[in-house]
Amino acid sequence: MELIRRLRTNTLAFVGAIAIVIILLMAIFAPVIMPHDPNEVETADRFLPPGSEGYILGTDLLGRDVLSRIILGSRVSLLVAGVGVGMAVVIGVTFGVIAAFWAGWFEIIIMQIADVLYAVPTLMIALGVVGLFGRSVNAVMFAIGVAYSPLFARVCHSAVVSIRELGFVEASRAMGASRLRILWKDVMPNILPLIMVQVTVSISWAILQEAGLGFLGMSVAPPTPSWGTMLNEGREYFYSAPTMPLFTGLMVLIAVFSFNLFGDGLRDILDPRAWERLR
Amino acid sequence: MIRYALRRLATLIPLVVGLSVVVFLYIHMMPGDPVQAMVGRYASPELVEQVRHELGLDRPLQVQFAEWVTGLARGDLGITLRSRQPITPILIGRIPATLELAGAAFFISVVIGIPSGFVAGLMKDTKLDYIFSVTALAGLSTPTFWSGYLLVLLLSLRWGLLPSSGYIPMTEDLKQNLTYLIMPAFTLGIARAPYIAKMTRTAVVETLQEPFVEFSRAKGLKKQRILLRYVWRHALPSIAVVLGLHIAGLLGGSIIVEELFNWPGTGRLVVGAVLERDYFMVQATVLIYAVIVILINFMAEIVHAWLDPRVRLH
Repeated sequence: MELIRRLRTNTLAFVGAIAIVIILLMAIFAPVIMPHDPNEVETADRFLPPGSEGYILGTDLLGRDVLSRIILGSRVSLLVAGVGVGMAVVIGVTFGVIAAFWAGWFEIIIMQIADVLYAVPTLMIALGVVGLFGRSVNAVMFAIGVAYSPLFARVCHSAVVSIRELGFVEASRAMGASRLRILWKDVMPNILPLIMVQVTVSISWAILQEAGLGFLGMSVAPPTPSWGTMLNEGREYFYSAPTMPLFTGLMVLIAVFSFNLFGDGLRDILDPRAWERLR
Repeated sequence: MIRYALRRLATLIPLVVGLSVVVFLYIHMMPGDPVQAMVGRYASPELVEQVRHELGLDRPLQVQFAEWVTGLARGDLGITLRSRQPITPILIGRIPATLELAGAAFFISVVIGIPSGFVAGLMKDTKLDYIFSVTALAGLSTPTFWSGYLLVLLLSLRWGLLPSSGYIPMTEDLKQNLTYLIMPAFTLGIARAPYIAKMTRTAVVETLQEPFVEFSRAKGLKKQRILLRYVWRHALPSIAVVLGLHIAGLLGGSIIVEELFNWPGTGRLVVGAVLERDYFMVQATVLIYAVIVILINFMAEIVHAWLDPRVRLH
């Protein structure tokens, strides 16, 4: 509740949060609000311009309703981004925290791997993973998970390293608390805000990533619409029918912007000093 | 200074070794049989074994790894799976185009990003700063293919000012080369400028909180003098580090921009390799990209230490 109260004082974060809720509702209730069947092929109505009767945003190369496809596409795009980042959190936080807490060889090896992966552009890691496993929903999720876990590992590792030497942790240790207890009771509450901000921002990047993969022809295979896949379908006909990819890209922009606004505001709202400690 | 550089260089060795192991293992991480996937589901078992033997994938893992590493040391990145051509010359042939694009985009993003970030940092918490923050976030959220599409629609299709896509080598016709370069470079540069701007703003805001700024002000120094002489100099080292980190994003972003504008650089090579399931080529390009990123970050750190002597003592 405190969070919501503070959120309302930050206009931008509030706008971002409301936009995210609207987009999520759109994804959840997609079947109800879609004006047409998004997979209904109507060859007579190919490439209708926006504003045509019954088709607010026009139709695509197979005469399918663009608006309906964008609405349904939000499901796969958000799912892939959300679950992908979720995987990255689980992998990254686990390894990052353990590495920081059980120093020694394990720490060196894990952080070395994180550093190596961190040096490769995330889009390239994602491309490599989809190249291995094919263009399924699971593969794209996994690709995003692998691409972002080094980031979470590094953020958590450096946060825990700076916290583990602080007074209150030492006090717990002196009182005989076990490592696990210190981890759970002292360290986790302190890095949680940090992780939350990182998650929000990463979801925005992941949506962008899925769209980018799709544009390159490497996101979820058709006919399932995702924003990325739609961008790829629109690419070939861009010069004759640019509206479909433009509207899809605009939707990606809006979604990414909302998560970014929210994440940026969240960073200001939640303990801002946590970020300074990290630098 | 040299000692610092050598010490930093030494820390890169395990990084590069780790990198070569991870990249080598890439092809072996594939679920199922990579060779089967290459030759197709309906190939006869004899053919699969023959191809596996030809590619040397039937030997023990450590033998393969040793050969891959010794090849790397000689600058040999192996052969492509499809045409069985050596990878190194193909890759080298693609580098100038990417270098040109990334260089021009880097220039554009720095010219836009640093001054605007600097001004926003000085005007912290004013309306202008607020507008700046929202614009920067919107810029970060804009997919490059989308802004690129808009540029093509306006500048090529509507006004016919610039060619919509393609590439002409600099050595052939410099003027033509530049007309083809403008749109891709702007698309990539504008996409990355907000990142530099935000980081510059942070560096300036932090510098303004330093006691020496207050002292100079108390001493009665002119504001301009404080800014141009002291604040700028103090913020510069951290900006240098940011510029290094920026390169990785630039290289990642260039993959999409190259594809959008048919720019024949390494980015398109990567995409083509992934689409054709040329795993050897994917391995090689990932390795090269990572090495470039590591080297550039290293150089940025050296510049950082050169600009800020305190760093060298750590």
